[in-house]
Amino acid sequence: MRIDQQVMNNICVLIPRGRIDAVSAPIFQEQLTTGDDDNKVVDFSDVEFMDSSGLGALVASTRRLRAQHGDIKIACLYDKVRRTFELTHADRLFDIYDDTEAAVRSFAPEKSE
Amino acid sequence: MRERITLEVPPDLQFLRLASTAGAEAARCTAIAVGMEKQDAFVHAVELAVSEVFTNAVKHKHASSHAWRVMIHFAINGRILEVVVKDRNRPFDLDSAPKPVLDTLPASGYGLFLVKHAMDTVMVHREADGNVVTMAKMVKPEGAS
Repeated sequence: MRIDQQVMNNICVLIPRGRIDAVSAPIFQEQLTTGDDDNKVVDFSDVEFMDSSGLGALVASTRRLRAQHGDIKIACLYDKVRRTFELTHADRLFDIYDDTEAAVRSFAPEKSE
Repeated sequence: MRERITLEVPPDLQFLRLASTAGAEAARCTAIAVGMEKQDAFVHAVELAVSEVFTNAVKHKHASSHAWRVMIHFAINGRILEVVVKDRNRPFDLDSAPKPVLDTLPASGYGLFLVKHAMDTVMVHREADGNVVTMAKMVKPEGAS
């Protein structure tokens, strides 16, 4: 798995690529919880597979960032990964957006024109 | 069509992708054999279940467990794919795996819950030297419940 990062409107956007499983989940969690940004967006468009290890990393990171008054928003959750969320009902834990721009905007709705 | 495939996989996470994608390919073969090639949900469910059960076997292995292999058997029987995973670990009880309480944002505990929901049937029984997880799933037309 590779994780790219970009900044959109001062929000850190993580773009994991490949598989998020027990092998790669610790790296995923580290990337989610490092840095000064407590608000993050994860763009899942290039994730081909995610199991419970990836979901656990995402939930643990969300718990940590919410404790710091931050959050993680989810974008581009396509079929395979979406099923992992839905089977566990974890989709109820997150704000899920169709695209990254909408997820980023959700952190600062008051700035919208 | 009735076919059997067996993998002997070292209990190490470096082989997780091999095990889980073998599950996906066995599912794909099952679907193709009955003429239902568009079966993404079925293939994903089996890949997910094998990934979870193999990960569980590796994470709970004994310190002295380097000499054994996780045995993964696939049996294609018409529209039903049966997957049997054997380990050499201490007993575990499938029914004792609680449903994750999402309000508490639990970081773990989703694995066996996912397996039970991904597959049609899941059973665990104990043999003399380890656990045997037997799972099955039937190919259905995409969109059928």
